[in-house]
Amino acid sequence: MNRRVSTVIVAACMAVGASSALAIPPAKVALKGARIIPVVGDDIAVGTLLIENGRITAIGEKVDVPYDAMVVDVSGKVLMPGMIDAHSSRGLDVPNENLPVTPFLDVYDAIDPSKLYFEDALRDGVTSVHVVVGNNCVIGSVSRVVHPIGLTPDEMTLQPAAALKFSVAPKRGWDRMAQMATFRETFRELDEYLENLAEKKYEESVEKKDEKIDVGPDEARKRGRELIKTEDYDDEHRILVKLTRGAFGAIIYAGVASDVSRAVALAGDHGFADRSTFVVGPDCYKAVDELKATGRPVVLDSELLYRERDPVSGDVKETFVPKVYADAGVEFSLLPSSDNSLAERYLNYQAARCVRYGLSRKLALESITINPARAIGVADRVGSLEVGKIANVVVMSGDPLDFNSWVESVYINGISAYVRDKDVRLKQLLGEEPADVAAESTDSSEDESPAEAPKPDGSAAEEKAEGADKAPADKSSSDKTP
Amino acid sequence: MIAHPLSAQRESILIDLKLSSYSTARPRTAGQSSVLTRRGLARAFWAIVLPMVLATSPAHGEETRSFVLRAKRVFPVSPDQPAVLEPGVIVVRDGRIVAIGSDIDVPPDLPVVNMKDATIVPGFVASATGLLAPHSGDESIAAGYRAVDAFDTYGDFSAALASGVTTVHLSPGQHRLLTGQGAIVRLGGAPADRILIERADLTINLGAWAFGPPRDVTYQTPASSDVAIPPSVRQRPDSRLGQFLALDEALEQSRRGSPASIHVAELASAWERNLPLRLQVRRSADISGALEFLKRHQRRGYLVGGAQAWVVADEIAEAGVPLVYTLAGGFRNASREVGHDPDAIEADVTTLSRLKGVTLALAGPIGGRVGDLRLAAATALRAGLDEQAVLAAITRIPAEILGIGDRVGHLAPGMDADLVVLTGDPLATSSHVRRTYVGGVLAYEAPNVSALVVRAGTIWVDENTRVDNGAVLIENGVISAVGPTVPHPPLARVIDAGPDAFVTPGFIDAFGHLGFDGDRSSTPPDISFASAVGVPDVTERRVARAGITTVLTAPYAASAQGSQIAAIKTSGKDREARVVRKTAGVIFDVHKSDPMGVGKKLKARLEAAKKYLEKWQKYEKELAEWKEKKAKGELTDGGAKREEVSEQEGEVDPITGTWAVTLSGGPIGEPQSATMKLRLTGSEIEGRITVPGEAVEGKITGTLDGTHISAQIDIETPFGPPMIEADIVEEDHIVGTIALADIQIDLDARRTDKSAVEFKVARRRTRGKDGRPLPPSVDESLEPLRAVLEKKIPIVIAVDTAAQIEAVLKVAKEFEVSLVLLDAAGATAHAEKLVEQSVGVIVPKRVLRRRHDRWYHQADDLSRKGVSIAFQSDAEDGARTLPLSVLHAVERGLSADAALAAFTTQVSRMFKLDDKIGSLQLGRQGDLVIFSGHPFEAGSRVQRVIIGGEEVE
Repeated sequence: MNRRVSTVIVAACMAVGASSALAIPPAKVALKGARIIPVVGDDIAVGTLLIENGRITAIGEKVDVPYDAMVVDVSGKVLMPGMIDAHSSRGLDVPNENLPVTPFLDVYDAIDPSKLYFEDALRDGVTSVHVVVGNNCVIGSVSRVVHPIGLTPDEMTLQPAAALKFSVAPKRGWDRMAQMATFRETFRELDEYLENLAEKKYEESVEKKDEKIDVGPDEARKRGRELIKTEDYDDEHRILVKLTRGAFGAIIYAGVASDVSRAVALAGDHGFADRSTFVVGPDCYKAVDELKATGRPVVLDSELLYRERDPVSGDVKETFVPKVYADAGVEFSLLPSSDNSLAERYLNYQAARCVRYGLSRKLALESITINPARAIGVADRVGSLEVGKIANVVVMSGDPLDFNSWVESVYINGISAYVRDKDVRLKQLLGEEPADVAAESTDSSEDESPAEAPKPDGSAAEEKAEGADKAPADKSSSDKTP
Repeated sequence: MIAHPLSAQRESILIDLKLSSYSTARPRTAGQSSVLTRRGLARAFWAIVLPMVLATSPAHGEETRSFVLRAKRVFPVSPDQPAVLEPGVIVVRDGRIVAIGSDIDVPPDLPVVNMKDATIVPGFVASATGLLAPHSGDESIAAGYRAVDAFDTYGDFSAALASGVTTVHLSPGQHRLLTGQGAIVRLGGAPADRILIERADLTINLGAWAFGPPRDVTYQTPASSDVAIPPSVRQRPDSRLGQFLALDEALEQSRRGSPASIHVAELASAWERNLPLRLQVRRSADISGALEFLKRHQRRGYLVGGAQAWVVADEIAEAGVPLVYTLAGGFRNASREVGHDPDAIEADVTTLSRLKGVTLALAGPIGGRVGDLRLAAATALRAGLDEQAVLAAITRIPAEILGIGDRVGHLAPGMDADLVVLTGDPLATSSHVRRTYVGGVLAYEAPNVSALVVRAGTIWVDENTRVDNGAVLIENGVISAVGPTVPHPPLARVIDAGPDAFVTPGFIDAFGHLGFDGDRSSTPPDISFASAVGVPDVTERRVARAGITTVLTAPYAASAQGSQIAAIKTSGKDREARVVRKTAGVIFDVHKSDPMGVGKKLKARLEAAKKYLEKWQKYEKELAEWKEKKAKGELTDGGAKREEVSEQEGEVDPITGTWAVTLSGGPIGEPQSATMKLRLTGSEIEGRITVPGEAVEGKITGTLDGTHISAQIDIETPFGPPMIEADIVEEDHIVGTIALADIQIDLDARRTDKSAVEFKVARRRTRGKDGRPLPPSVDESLEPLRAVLEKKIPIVIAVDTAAQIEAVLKVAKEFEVSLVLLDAAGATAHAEKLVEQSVGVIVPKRVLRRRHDRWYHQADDLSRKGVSIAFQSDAEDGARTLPLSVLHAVERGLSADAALAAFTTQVSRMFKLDDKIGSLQLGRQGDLVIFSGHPFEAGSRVQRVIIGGEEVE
């Protein structure tokens, strides 16, 4: 309880956007004059996005803006759907429990809304985070999709009980033999439990009727199975029963290529193959055909450029992992690096790298928005700018794949969740007076004339991502990009 | 594929361009231009066609997994086949062997992989390995662990495949009593096909390694007030007494049904499936116990380990239980323990020699490298096991023991195509694996290393040295070892030609025209045929296949000023590899001249060359003196001072600066612009001219006389340098002409910058900036003769009569040059003089002569008199009959070895090429010919030809 209180206090002290989130939001917001990248559908060069009661109600070049809508001029900026982190344990205080098998645990109990990570996620344009326990487990816990803003996990939640985490790669200090034996043991024990439970239920029903048990144990179990109700399952087994009975999804981590067939077999043997999402290490590109055959979404580890050494010749071979999946026609999502000091922590940087290695711009943008939304089962609500979807919108200063662009503001549920000008921590980081920052950012937005706007084909992004020098005036402002 | 023809074409175009630029100025004889241009076209043609021809012959069948493999020998290791098939043919279809034999029909639809020096054996079966780390569980009885779970199906096992191991037993560990279930996998091929048996056995480890397991803790989750964490349980066994008790207890528990854990459940299912028991044992007591255990439970199984098996050998044999004996190894790391027999020096030898009647497989040391299997097994030969038994003990027998004998382990129709291609005998120390196939997939191929070992019954190194039953090692195209045994670098190719084979240095044709394509015109003295050499074509390969590796290539007709002879190999990947020496000799033809005039003509030419040489000698002398002085610090730096003064003058003179030049007229269509940078030093002009788009800069040197400039551009052309004659017509404006031969180009230049310019390259002056003497200009037409006078190359003179020879000898003596006579019918008369002046004779093709009503053979005659001789083909691809015509000389009395010397060592010495070719001594180029017998025995044939370390196919 104490902890909750302190959490609330810390969160309340946070200046970043929290104040605006706490204020009563306007019911209707129109974002006007920006280039819109809806990801699903064609780009709109200059258009308006209308949000009503937290949902997108209109999007297009010409939108009838209701008289009572708050109109925000975002001309010269770029609107895109909020990016989605499909697998992160950084919202938890500790990534993993030391018990190997914990399907009865839920990340709900460990999400810490005051984690700096959530603040960073907003600043980086991530509006949905799939909070999952780390890979150091055998059977992990129940995951949850949250918005990176809110005072309690409940307030943050977009999708509770999203999936159950599995790891085929061995838990620390374990090996694959022990890992696989533990899976077998868990599901064997589940069967045993269900049999015993059925028998027990039958016996109870007979006792109730004051009859004598007149059948053998096999028949008793058979009859007892129909008597089991959902509430009869104990905590330890409830989720596993749901999983095997088709009411729950799994998110399965495979570390190396040979883990893929084990992960696929695990899901197939226990009846959740059609509800599994695979999170794969870089080495798994070798098993791309196996992954393709499953037809399930694939989430790629943040290490996109994979280096291997030939054991005989010693030559180093480099593989750009997303290219392999793209060439094979497998839908994939990108993950940001959990290392805050790397550029890979930005999802849009990860997507820009894909473009640089020859993937299409469309595919790159999908892999950080709609694809992760599908992978974690929330594509009906987020992942693109479409009418009817939750208004999770990121306003970028320029093209999202241009590394000189930054996040100007973020709307979550149609509510302004982050505004760069009011980002106290960023100001502290950059060591500048708030007024100067405001002035600078206005200047730079004015500089962004339509003629200079990045080309939609992404070539501008490529050039700039390579570090092409900008004019000195521009450079000073671009230095302030976190 | 595309790059080759293009680059070769460009090469030929370059030659054409060079020639056409010559011919713009001076009309060439039709012959001259045709020699090189037509050659160039032919090169380009072959450069395009050859890769196409090669591309159509499929290299491997790895895509289809269907192919025919031909090898020198095949060891099928199959009970119903002979021990060795020689030669061997294996037909593989869809990854399986469909036919095997020495002489079988080859299906016409399959690609043939010809490995004529190779030995093929079945893929080795490593029946005990440390490929997996043991599992991390604490349980003493842990049947639930499956080794297959830890196998990396996508792994790259090249290191093991490189030693021929294709099939491997994976063990879940040997640190507990019952560690789990083993698996059998292969190390190559498609990942999905790599697992042969997922659950292959129950691995039981008897003896000390399984004693005293850690306490077992059962976690209760979630523990709560009513679910207590139970205390940890002590596990068995701690001793030999306890190990079988623990096993029986576990079996009993698994039979009871309602398993308490996955391990019990898996033990029950494994037992039900009747999985073989894999009993790892070392001590005799454990072995006896293991045999008893198998008998009691009526189970199949096999023993692994067996360090003390010799104690109970009879018992093992009687029980009919096979043994996988794990060798102690020791050749990689000397082992600390020698085993349980204190008298044994080599434990393995002692044990293995006493295991009569036991079905025996051999495995590498546990925890050792998988790749050591072949050599570890080969050491078992010391225990008296025969070669067949040892080979079977790492192929067929372990496969049968592991239960995969119907798929791998021997070569027979229906078996998987797991093949190891070795360079030699499978158990020989010097053999290496060239290729490994797994299920018909080429899983490993040794990288191509430029090292070749040729073994033969006789190696004819030179006329004084012969090695019997020896070998030659060629590395990077050069002979690096020759002798009874030579090093075998890893991955070297090996040709074992057999005890009857006779290896000689590559033959040298002392006078041929290979590549001239019937062009009978003479070639000017400044052109070497070497510049027209490219990729060899069929014609050259024909000559090469006859054993002739180098042709001293001369034009059909020598020019009056002499022509160059080039030493060209008949095979090689490019020009650089084929040209032994660009100018290997200068040839004059005087055989039709009047003997009185012969000397005079030659003398005149040599005289000119001598003057040219003296210039160079003077320069070299001065240079040496200058260097000496500089080293001593005696130089006054006079030259440098003069330089400083002139630079000061340069600031105001009418020449120094940058000039924008317009060139027009003559052959130039559109006026062309150029830049000229000049500097005036006294009356000397120095500078550069650059034409935009041209990479080359032209150096300008000349003089200023009043307002008249005469200068030359130092570009090498056959007609001397282009000359500039110009006048300063007004300030900063020069008008004049550039003349080359009879072509004139108008020049109009205006000065754009007056600042002095620095040039990096020294001017053509007698002294450089620091007083260093400068070399004289090069005269390409005299360069060859300069080399002759310096005795670097010989002068070859085609002569006929004794009188001509006398005149030529006189000149040669006067100028002290190395002389080789071509044809020289009258040579016999001067034999003594020839010996005295060490003059070689290239004997004519028509060798049989008649004197005083007696036939004699000139080659034999001169050879006996001590004159060095060489053979000539005087032909292009007709050179391939040359060895046959030498056979005729041998028939007429020439000793076979003298003929061989005339073909190799003597001719290379004549042309001073003996440091490169002509013998098989160290450091010579790797050109050799393998004959089935002495090359000049009538029945002896050329078997193989190696040029530059590469076989000519």
